[in-house]
Amino acid sequence: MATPDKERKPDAEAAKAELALVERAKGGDLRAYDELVQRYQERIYGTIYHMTSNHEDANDLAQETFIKAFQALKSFKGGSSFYTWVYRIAVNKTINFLKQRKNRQGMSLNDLDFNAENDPDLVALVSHKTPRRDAGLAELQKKLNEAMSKLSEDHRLVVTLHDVQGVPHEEIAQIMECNVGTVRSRLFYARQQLQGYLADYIK
Amino acid sequence: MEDQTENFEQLKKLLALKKHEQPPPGYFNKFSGNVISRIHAERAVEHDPMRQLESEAPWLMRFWRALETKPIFGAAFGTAICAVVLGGILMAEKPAKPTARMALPEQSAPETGIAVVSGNQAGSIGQGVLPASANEPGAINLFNMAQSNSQTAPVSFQPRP
Repeated sequence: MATPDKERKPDAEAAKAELALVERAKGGDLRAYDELVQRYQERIYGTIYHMTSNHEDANDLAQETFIKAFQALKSFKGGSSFYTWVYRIAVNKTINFLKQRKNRQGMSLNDLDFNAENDPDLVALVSHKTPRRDAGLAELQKKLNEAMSKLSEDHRLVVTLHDVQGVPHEEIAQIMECNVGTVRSRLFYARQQLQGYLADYIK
Repeated sequence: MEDQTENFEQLKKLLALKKHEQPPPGYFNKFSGNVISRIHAERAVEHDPMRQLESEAPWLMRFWRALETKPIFGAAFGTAICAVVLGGILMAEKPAKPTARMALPEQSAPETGIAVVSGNQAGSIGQGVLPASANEPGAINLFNMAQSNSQTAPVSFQPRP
């Protein structure tokens, strides 16, 4: 789901093409907007999913994010990239949703893909290095999501964006509208907390 | 510190597990289509005249719903409308009373029904009623002449031999 930085930072030509798509979408061209949605749907869905640990919620929020972005497109002045702008909408929507959902803790996790079983790091983590040698990937997935859900929204967001999706610090700072130092310190504390919650699995 | 870094490395490896959590197969093939369909649906709702009315005049819609849900309101409203219409018809059928301006003149010429006023009054009334040119001496004379020669000969429509 994460995308390498090379792909994320479009060159000038790609940025120009994206701007053209945005301008067409502003004029009401839904084909152009469809293309923009297809470009960023996986990243936006992924961020929301990792924040909520619930597929249905992530689906609704991701769709609402793109609908709201379309409705607000006229207010997009191009000060940041379209991608950062949509991300900001998604993040705000998700954080608001999580604040309202505080009392309802229901996880609806996606299945692990086939590659997970063949990931050497994960196999090693599960089979050899942890005290819980009997832990399967599914159990580990559940524990990991439970630990993530114990973090505050801001801490969960930095971990999701940086450690899961590979977004660089500078871009996270733009999305969260804070400085890079804040991102780094939040990341540090979030990792420390996660380490405490998952001590049995990462010793 | 080294331990901590090492542990973070382990944690990062564990977090990599989340990258493998994927939505059901084919999910992203339909996703953008669903978004576009919802945008279409919202546009249709925006152009619905009832919805527009609801956003522009919510009081009207509340009133309409009250009429729909409580028949007594409907009956009362219908009765009120009928009363207004009947009242209007009755008022229209009554003969019109003379207005205050028509009652003002001192005398009236019985033959023509044109009010005859004195010179001073003619001047004062003329300022308000008659055009400016009518206040000039020539115009007053013409006006008085019309009063004095109020008997006019009927026009004959008989064809000339």
